[in-house]
Amino acid sequence: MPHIPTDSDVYEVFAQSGHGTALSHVGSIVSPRPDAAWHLAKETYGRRDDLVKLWVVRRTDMIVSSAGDRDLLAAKTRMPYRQPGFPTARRRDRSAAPPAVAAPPERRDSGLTERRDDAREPRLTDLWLALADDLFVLGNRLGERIVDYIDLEEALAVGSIGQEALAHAGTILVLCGFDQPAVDARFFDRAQAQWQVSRVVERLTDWPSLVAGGLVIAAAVAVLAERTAEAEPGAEWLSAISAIRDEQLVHLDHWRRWARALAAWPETRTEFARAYAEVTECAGDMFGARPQSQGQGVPAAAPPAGPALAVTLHERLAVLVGDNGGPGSRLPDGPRTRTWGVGGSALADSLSRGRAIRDHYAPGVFS
Amino acid sequence: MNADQLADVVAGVSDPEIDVGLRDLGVLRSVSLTDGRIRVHLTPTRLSCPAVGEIARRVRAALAEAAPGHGIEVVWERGAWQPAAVTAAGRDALRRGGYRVAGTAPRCPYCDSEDVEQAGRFGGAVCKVPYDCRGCGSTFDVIGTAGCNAMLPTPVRGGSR
Amino acid sequence: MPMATAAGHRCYELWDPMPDEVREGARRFAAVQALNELVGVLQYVEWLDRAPSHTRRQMLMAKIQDEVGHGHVVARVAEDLGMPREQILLDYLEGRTRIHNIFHYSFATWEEVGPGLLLTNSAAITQFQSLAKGVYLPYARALRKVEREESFHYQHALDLTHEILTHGDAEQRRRVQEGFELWLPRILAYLGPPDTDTLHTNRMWQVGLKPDGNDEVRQAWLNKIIPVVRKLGLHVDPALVRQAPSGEWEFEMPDWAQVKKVIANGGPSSQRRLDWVRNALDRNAPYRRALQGVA
Repeated sequence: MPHIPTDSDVYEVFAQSGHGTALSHVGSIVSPRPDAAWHLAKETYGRRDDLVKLWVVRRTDMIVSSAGDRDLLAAKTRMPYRQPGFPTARRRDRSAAPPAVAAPPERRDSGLTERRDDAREPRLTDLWLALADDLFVLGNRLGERIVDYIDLEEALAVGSIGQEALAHAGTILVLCGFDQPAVDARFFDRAQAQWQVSRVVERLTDWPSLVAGGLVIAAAVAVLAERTAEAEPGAEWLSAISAIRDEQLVHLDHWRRWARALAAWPETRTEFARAYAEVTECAGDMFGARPQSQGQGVPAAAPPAGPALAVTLHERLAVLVGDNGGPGSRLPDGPRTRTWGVGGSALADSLSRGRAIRDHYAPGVFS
Repeated sequence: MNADQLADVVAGVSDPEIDVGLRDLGVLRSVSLTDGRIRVHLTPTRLSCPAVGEIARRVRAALAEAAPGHGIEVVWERGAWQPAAVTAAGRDALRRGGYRVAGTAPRCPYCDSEDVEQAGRFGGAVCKVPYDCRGCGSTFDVIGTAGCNAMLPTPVRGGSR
Repeated sequence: MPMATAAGHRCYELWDPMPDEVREGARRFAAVQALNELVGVLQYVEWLDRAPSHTRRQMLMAKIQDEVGHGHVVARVAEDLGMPREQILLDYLEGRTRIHNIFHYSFATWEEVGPGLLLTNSAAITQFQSLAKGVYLPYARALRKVEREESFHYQHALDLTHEILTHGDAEQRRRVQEGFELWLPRILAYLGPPDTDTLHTNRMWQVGLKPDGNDEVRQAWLNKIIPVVRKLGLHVDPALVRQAPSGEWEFEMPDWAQVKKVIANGGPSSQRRLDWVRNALDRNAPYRRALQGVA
């Protein structure tokens, strides 16, 4: 009868590696027997000479906190961590309540100047968080295209761009003060009603639309990065923002090549012109994020993201999106606001598949 | 151990994919030691480097073994890596592994031929660009050109640059 | 430049005159490897959007990308030897080439992915280390680099397996154990039928492209992987694999007729793989033409 590891076969290992230092948790191991566990721990986590103490404790014998206790443990002592100067949002872990504005009745084409339910104007942070959502979905859609075999080089292109879209989405959250569990909670545990993706996202299905969508998202991220870098030239986070901008410009260049090719080729011309028109028509909301979190102070140097900023960013986007050597853009004349809960089946499928495994594990396993 | 000695320990940690130390690869930025706490500043070659977790694990393990009993903090400086930060020894190690570093005209790492062709704009990893040597028929990668140092940002109306 | 292998065979660069058997053999090895890198990742792509954390998803996507990158490398090697890269997938669809037995299966659970990846990766590394001693140098160099890059995915597979074994519940750990027991025999079969007695009549061995026999590679792999698996906390059932007093590994011999059937597209996911590749090529044909037509 083979021995299948059970809960009581998991041991937590604590080691003290020098006099005057604390005994600390160094890892976990699986072992069928307690005596074997101690020896395995010694072999795995320490050379004999270095260790002063080695404690090996059966996991089932310990009283441990769960992810649900995060707030309880953190409530009085933890201050939100900030990258100095970067417009910061509060970390939100998976136990956080949905924002008060979740899933309001949909209103189309509400301009930024219109009076909204939201108590305040969106800030740069809100614009970044919304673009991070777009990048996350885009990255996932591109990952699947690695095996579309358009050709070998394109497989590597979509894989690289997809990986960087995911990484940029994560980097943006980290710059906004999220730690890793909070990043996961935001991308995996929010209901669709709590997402504020662009309307472009629901169109990321066929290849011509992915080309058009990739193009407008890359252009929007590059524009926002440029603007953010202008806001505080000496900031500590500048190198990260510049790297995001530079990498997105490479993506933009890639999608522009595709746009030119699909627009010039007789067989794909009509299909691409339609996709490009539809996607750019949806892209008016790139900088139309609504406020995402309440009660955070804006660092003095970060410019307010009022209607004027959205207009400026939108104009810059229009230049990049219009000037591609391909078909005409239908980008609206002015910026449009985003709506909670859009994203269509592209987002819905992505979310439900993302939870398929995660939901079957205890909270915190994958953090 | 002082900070310099600790930095040497981190320098001796190998990249998970290529036999090259972190200092030689330009990934190690600095090491400081304050009140018994070691702070290691590293920079990934690309923002989306998938090896950051494994590199941090190795750095912690190496420091815990060399200087037991210290708190260890690994700080990733995003976007700070430059091809120019690769040392001469690093370039040698990379060449032996079949890689060249961006910044000069690429030559084949195996036969040193200048008769090389870029084999695509993106490689198997985000930090690599594929090349073919027409001299000896070998394939190799150039590290660090996928960024757009060589590319001009598209003119932006009203932009400050 | 080494002009001869350790076994005494003469080595060849791309432009060297070489026996047709060496050229064709190297081309076939590289093309078959390219096919397997390209189609083999479908197994993992199926789990990409279910990967349960941001980091895990990035790692998995990087792994898939890297394998396709390796496909790109060896396809270029094959191309230099006269095999157009477009031909690689067409040969597969038209039944002229086959993918390895392991790629005719899918993972049924997330828990199976870790041990499956670990065993597959370590076996591939061992095999590439062997083939890298071959006489066609551009392929040998590519393999050394590929093998080194694979070791990073091997670390990922260890981490993935360890995560579930130490943090999953009893049921999840049970599935990891089952995954190991399911994939071990498949990998034993992947390394090929016993050939110790016949190796010296194998032309690829004679010309120096296949430096080691299947049995040798299999033993080298078991030597490395079984201690690792044990250290992870998995049980290694002696009925599956055990070490004789001589140090030699013994194992339950795969049913080679069955393995052959699987490889001939008779495995549980064989049709799914073929359909995927055919549909992807068809669906994207106009875009491929646009890219080529305008470039």
